[in-house]
Amino acid sequence: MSWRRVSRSLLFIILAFWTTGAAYAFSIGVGGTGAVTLSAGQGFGPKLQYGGGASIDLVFPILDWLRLDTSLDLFTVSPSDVSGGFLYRGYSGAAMAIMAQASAVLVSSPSLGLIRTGGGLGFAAALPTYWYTTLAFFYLEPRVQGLLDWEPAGLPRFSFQLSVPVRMQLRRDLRYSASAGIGIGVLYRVGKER
Amino acid sequence: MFDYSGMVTHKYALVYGVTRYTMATVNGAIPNLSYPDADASAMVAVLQSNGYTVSSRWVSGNGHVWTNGTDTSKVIGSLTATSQDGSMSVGAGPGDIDAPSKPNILSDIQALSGTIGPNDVLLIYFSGHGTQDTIAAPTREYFDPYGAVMNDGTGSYYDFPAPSVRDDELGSAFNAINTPRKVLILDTCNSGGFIGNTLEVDTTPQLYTGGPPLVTPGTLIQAIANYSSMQSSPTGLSPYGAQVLSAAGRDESSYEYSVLPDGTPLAHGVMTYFLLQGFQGSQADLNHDGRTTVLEAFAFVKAGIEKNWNPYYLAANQAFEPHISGGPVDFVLF
Repeated sequence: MSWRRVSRSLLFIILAFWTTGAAYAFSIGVGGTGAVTLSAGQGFGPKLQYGGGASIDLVFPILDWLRLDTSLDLFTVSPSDVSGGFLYRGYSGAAMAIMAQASAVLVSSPSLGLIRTGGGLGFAAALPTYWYTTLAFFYLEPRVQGLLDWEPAGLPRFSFQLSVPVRMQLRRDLRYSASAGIGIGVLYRVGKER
Repeated sequence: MFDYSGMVTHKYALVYGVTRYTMATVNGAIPNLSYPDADASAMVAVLQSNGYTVSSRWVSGNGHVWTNGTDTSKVIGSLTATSQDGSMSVGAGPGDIDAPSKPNILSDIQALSGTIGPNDVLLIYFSGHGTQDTIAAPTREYFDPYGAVMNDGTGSYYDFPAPSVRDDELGSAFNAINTPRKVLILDTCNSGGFIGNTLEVDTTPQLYTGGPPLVTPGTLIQAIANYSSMQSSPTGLSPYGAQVLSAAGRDESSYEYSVLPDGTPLAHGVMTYFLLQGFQGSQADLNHDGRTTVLEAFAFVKAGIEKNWNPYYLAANQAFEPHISGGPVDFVLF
């Protein structure tokens, strides 16, 4: 299939969602994450790397308690320290992610709004390049996260999200690499009011 | 399994340069260069001042062989035949025994095998000619120590392989060295061919023709294929065996010159000039943490060439781009 056909198909899907938004609500959002990554290479000890990222999300409700979050993430991970005469290289890039999120109502108050708590399970495909280089590489990344979702009473289309993402970078050139962090985000619901 | 997480204990370097390849320059001989002896000499000084134990061999412009910074006053040999079918060879000269020849380079590496421990650093630097065998598929790249000769008997001009050093020959020598902290710096043409990655896709082309590197759908497809197969490049040194910093791409030339286009005196290989600039005064310590890594040195050199050389020589097809090995680990040089 040519890239032009793929582009047309994607355009059709996006337009379809927008035009049917009144019937099938979905949310768009942006978010940011700060994380610390623990990496260990073959024959080299573990070290910490600090990083962060931003995402653009499209979130589709499936059931009242279940939704699908698709996102495009831009991220960067800084190099580790140089102790022992070596370091793990920093890298930056993009990832496409999909995550199923389940949640339950924690607080429902006319003045406060709706607060949900829950968790998510998903995975991402990442294509970063090492800092200072043009060397691109690929890895898969299973993700889990806990989340707290607040829909303020006065802003019915908005929800604000606090998350604790835990991610495992399935990098084939490292013994292991995993990260944990904290994220914030805001979603705007498009389509019909609930 | 070795534990490489301890502190670096010793730093060793082997430094080589070949300015003059033969005392008698005849048709078909590898052309002599102007500055590899200056490159090697300056590199020895900067490495020694940063705590390296350095062994060196170079051939100066007058054909004298220098070892460990001392002029032996012995000269190299002359070409004994001018056949261009590969039978050309360099006759024995009194300096051959100490010259930076292939046997001596491989022997120097072997000699360190009993000395270097798992937490030590070995840096090997070579300045001189490099070449590419375009008949082989995939192409094979060599660097040309003293004793290298030309071979265009098959109609495609490359150097006769036996006296030159190929990536896998160097890789075999490296296998005897008991540390993963091996760094190879090549200021030669075609030196990018010594880089053999497993996972990474280098979006800087091996023959630079201008413009920024681009991540395309093809990059993603190749990266996924590499991730799936985890097969090392069929040529070049694996990043898990050595970190290679090359002056040029696999398919392009590198250059030496007397001055930069802005009039700044150069008198070195262009890549080596910027490498020395980066090492002196720690200019290549890009994040100012008091340490200079291989990757920082690469970035400093690349920026220097892209700013001070390529804009002036792109139209003449003399622009080039340094390359570096992939892999997740970077090493501290100083």
